[in-house]
Amino acid sequence: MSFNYNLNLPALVIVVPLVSSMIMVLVGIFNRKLVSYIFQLVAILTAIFSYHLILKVYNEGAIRYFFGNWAAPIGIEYHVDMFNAFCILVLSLIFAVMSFYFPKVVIKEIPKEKSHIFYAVTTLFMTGLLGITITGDLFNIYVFMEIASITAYALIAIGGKKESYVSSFNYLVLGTIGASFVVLGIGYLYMATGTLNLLDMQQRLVPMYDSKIVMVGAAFIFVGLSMKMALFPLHSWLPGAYADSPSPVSALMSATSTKVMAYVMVRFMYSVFTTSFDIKVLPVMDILFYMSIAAVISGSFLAIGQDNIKKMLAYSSVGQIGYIVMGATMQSSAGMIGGLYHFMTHAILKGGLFLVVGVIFYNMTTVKIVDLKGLYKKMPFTSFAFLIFALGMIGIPTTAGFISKWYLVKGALETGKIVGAVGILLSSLLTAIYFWRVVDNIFFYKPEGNIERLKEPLSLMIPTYALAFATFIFGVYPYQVIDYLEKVAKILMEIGK
Amino acid sequence: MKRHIVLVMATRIMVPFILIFSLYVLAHGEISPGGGFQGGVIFAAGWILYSMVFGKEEFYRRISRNMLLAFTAIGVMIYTLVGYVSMFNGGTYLEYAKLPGLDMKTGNSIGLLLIEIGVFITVFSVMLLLFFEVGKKDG
Amino acid sequence: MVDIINFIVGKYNYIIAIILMLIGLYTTIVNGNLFKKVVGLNILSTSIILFYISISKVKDGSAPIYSENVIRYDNPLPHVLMLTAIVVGVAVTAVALSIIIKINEFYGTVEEDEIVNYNQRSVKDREENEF
Repeated sequence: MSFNYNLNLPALVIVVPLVSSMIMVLVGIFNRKLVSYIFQLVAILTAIFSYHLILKVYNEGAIRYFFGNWAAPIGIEYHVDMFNAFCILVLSLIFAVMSFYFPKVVIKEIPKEKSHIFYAVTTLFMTGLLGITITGDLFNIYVFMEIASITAYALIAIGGKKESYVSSFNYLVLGTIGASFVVLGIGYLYMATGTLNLLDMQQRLVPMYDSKIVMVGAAFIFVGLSMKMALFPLHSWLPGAYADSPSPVSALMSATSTKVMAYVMVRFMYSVFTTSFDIKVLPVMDILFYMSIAAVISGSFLAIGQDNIKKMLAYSSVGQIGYIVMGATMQSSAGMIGGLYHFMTHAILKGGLFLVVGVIFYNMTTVKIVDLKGLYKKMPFTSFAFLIFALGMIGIPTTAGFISKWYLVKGALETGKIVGAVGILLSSLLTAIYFWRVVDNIFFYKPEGNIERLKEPLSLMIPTYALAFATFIFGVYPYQVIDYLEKVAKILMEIGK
Repeated sequence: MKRHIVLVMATRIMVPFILIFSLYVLAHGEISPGGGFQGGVIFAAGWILYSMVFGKEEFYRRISRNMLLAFTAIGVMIYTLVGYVSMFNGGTYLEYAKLPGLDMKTGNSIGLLLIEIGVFITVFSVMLLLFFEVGKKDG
Repeated sequence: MVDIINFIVGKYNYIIAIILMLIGLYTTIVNGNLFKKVVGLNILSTSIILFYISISKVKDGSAPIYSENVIRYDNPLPHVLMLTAIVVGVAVTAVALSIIIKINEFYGTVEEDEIVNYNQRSVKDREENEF
């Protein structure tokens, strides 16, 4: 009768952040300063748990954790296989790195009396995202999705900027509609199968693929998820939400939230419906593949026209989520690897870019591209970090962006979908164009007014450079991750064959 | 503000009963319709009625805003604490049978009651906070 | 004709749920007033709650509370799920309302087109000040 760490790992990943967000509220009433330290501690703990989780899954195979020891179809199950263990690790590592960046920026951008609430809500936001990733119960996905979304609405509006309220409201309306579609679709599937457990449903659905109920359910779920993850025609909430929120929030959200929805989509596509549903009944993957090409190109096009750097990065996110979806819907192992690698790469790069923008905002209180003229003289380290991330986004060899694009193009060529390869290359070109505008302004223009070195605090630089370093690490030594993802892709492809 | 005597007296009589009834709903949650959520909403409704008649200041004189905030946190913490206790006692999270000193049968009912109490506290404090914070004039 | 009537009578719960859902969506999309948008969202989520509750009904089933002389119960699981969905709906409504209050505070209006006008006007003002 003692604590079983290995058994309870999947629960710990969720309940530790959950309870600590409440502890933060409680502690914050008495001592606001302490809260940021608790926040960092929780972030590190979560990262450690998820590292142990991925080790365990890698060595011993998939884990099924039953809450309250109620066995599978009755109780709620946390299902961890190699696929979502990877996603959990990426999310919690990004969270841990960013947690060190937060305190300094929060003092600047968040009203003082709200800072402890901000930390608590951020932790709850991460709990929601991790919960979506780890759970093996369909309704639980909806609940965690709503936890993550409601906290996101609050986080966008917490800075007190006028525009942020409108953006938050837009996100709220579209996000709620999306989540309602998802839960309606889950209802249809529940009606057909009588179960909410993911693995159970996968087996019970096989003889029912022709049923219209299942088809309608699938349609609702995929439309709802596309809305939640801002796939191209449904992306209108995203630019406002990222651009008007405080910079720590936009960094964390851009690195995590839409990608988690992409994860859920892949989960539904491969684990719930399996590939044979796609081939026999509803060609979800083909539809989403062409939509993702549209997303990749149009997102980059829209990014070119922006004069606000945050808005530019947000539109670029619309394009980048297309890469992940494209990789997942390519129906080839290489494409899948590329998509999942981009899950990690984009989290690193876009998170890093928003961190850089946060540093710029911290010093200059501006996010206009024209105001960045000659930034190189004022903030050399920040500018250099921006250059690294920009190169990564374009996909220059030796950066992580190159690896994911390489595999995506490889997958597209293997399956004969030349359009996909053309889309990726075209979008890389466009990415180069819109990042070049910023890099041009930073490095090749004479600064206006007096040139003085602005402060670049170490606590902001270390997380930024940690991510910049990761860009190169995963660009030069991708083998371990690729090996791992190869296994993941193989498992996902083989379900239902 | 001038208050009507009927309103005041009716509220004075009704509020204690509403509060007691909410506790009844809470306690019977496991065998009949009801439970922490419903009980908490009824409890909050009692206080909301009270503060609508006597004013928000009168209510905040009894329970401060920070205390309500703390209650939200405490409720969730009771819930999670039950889970932690069962976890540290060798079971999985929220496995009532593994609560100290309880077996499968008593554990299920007592563990459930503890959790419902947590839900109750959170729900009533959140409801009151929503009512006061959304409804306040000065934003 | 008989087929259509049978279809409508036999599946009226789904039809009502979908009609309600469309009303909610329509209200949310068409109305410029932010409060009405929230009302639309609430109708949308209510339609889903009705849908779930209607699929839980078992023929001749009683309410899922244990008692001696009942043979068949309705499926209790959708009820429990919808309790969660109601809570989520309350939370979303609360967040939406508090955001609307803040919008009203800053813009002095809750009409969407007026907010858009306000933003455009402020951009124009800034440009005029610059030149």
